[in-house]
Amino acid sequence: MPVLEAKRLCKSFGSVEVLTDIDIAIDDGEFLVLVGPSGCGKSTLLNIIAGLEEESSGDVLIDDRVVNLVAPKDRDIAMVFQSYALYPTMTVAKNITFGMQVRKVPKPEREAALARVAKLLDIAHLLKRKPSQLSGGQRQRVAMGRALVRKPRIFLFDEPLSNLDAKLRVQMRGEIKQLHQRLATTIVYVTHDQTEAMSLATKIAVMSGGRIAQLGPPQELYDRPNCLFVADFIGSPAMNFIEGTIAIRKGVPLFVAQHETSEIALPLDHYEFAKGAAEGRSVTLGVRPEYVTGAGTANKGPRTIRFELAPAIMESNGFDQHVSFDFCGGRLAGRFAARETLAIGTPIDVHMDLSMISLFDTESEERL
Amino acid sequence: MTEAATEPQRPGRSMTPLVLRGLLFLILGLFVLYYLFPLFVMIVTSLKPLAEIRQGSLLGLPQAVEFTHWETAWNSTCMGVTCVGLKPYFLNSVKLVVPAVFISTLLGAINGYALSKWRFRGSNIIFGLMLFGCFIPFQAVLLPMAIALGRMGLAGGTTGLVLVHVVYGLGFTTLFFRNYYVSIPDELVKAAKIDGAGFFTIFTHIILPLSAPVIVVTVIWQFTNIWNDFLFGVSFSQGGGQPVTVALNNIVNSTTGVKEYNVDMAAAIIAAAPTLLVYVVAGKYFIRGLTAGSVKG
Repeated sequence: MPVLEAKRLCKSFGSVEVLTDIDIAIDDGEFLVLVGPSGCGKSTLLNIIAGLEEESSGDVLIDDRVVNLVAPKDRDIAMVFQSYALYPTMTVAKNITFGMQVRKVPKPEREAALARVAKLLDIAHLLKRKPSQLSGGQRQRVAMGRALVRKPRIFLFDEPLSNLDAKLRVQMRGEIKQLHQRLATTIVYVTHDQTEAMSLATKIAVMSGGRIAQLGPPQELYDRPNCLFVADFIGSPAMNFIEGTIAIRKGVPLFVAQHETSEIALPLDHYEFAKGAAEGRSVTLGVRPEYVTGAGTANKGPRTIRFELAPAIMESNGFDQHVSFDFCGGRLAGRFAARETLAIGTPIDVHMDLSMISLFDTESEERL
Repeated sequence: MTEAATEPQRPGRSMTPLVLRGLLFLILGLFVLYYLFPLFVMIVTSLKPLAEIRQGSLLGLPQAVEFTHWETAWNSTCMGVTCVGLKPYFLNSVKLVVPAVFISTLLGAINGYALSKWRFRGSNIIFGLMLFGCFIPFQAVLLPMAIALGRMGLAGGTTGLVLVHVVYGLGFTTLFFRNYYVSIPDELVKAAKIDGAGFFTIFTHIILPLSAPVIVVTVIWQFTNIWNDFLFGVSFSQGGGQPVTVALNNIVNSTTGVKEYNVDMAAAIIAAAPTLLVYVVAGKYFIRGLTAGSVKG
């Protein structure tokens, strides 16, 4: 039985449709991340789940109960906001216990819960301070404390890390993950950062233009994106896309593209077409940069094919080198071993592993 | 040595700002004199005996300082046949201003909160209409107000006058609070809703504690307007229930025989004292409140 379900959820502001036919179901203990570019409707969806905004049509269910008309306070949820939304005039302790005080929880119980959360988040020494006396990371912790203290059925996070600096963000990300693993809570988390989504989620919903483009476990989205948008959005550096057509020669489907003056044909006999390979169709081949490697990489993959290309751009991050080549009228990025000696303009052997490629219909942008 | 070499140029370069600065202070000083002059004349006149006023110059300092006129003005000066001084009317004003300011500020706060944090269909129209109310001149509402008060049986009493001031002030107080609350992040209210707080709990626990600056602004504004009001006071009150502004007018206009300038001046100062005091005490917060922006944290 799913803890949280959205059924054919739609939301429009006047004539502008911001959410269209959203269907989601998550089970107990799952960590769902709603990810997408700004304006894709992910925050609106979270607000509707929280009950802070009203859906135009469709249903929200918590524990199999339709909660469309249930007030936020009675939905058994807690929420962490991007701006933290700590009550500025209250101390940290008051901030955390305000919800229980409103719900008339007896004082000893409140204090026990406060002590538990303070210990869990390591904020015991901050309890008497006001929010204005806290650093960004501390405010973040207090905001989480306020959510954690009530042990709700579902936690909602609205871009909770986007106001932190890069290093703190990674640290807090780790702590959220750890909390989730330790407390086994159900979480819905909104972010525009795909790295955050990949590292936190047990399930990701990539949203685009008010629709869910793909919903699934992170690895599935990474390996088998069902459309060009998801393929491009997930993964950093981004997936390479090569334009070409499908040809069938001697019964073997091939991806055919034009590189400078010569034709390049990549065998697709291993590729699992959803609807079969149609000859002559314009397709976009997607291959992640880590499957484009050089001589310095020991394991080049099971289905490598070799090209001779000259590096156009090289960036090193110490761990590996991101190298770009001009290829088939576009750019092809690869990840090369850090200590491999490369020079711009000097042709080298480039190995492309075809075992994990994706093919998309150029027109409909859907996975083939 | 290089410093000494450039020295001669200095006076020439820094002369202009100095002159401008001096000019600035001169002009400011003139304005200060211009504004303080009437107050000075009032205070000086109120302390002089009548004989000295008649012969002496307006600006001359009193030769013999007498506080008796102040006492007369407060306790026993006459308007027409009643000689009870300004005291009962001053108290009338207090009894009028305190509830009127309190009620209009509180209602303005609730209105502003509802119009900024609990928007509903048509809330902008309602706010627009309330704003429009700010620009209706006093004179235009006199007659309808008189009829309404008469129908409600509140004509001529302090309660009626309080009602008039509350209704008339609501547009302004709502405007002040609404504009201030717009700068408070909506997420605070959302967080409190999820915490289980309702409309009034959020208002009293989250919003009101953040409102000190705007409350000061509103209270000063309302206090000054209601205390200084003459037209509503003279129109909607009668006899012993009149506010101090109306009484002052009656005292100054109805003296028979000798015109007691010193008593009149003392009475005028007494009538103006509360608003002056409010500005002196809270003026700092007034300026701060007017410029107070978003809430940190």
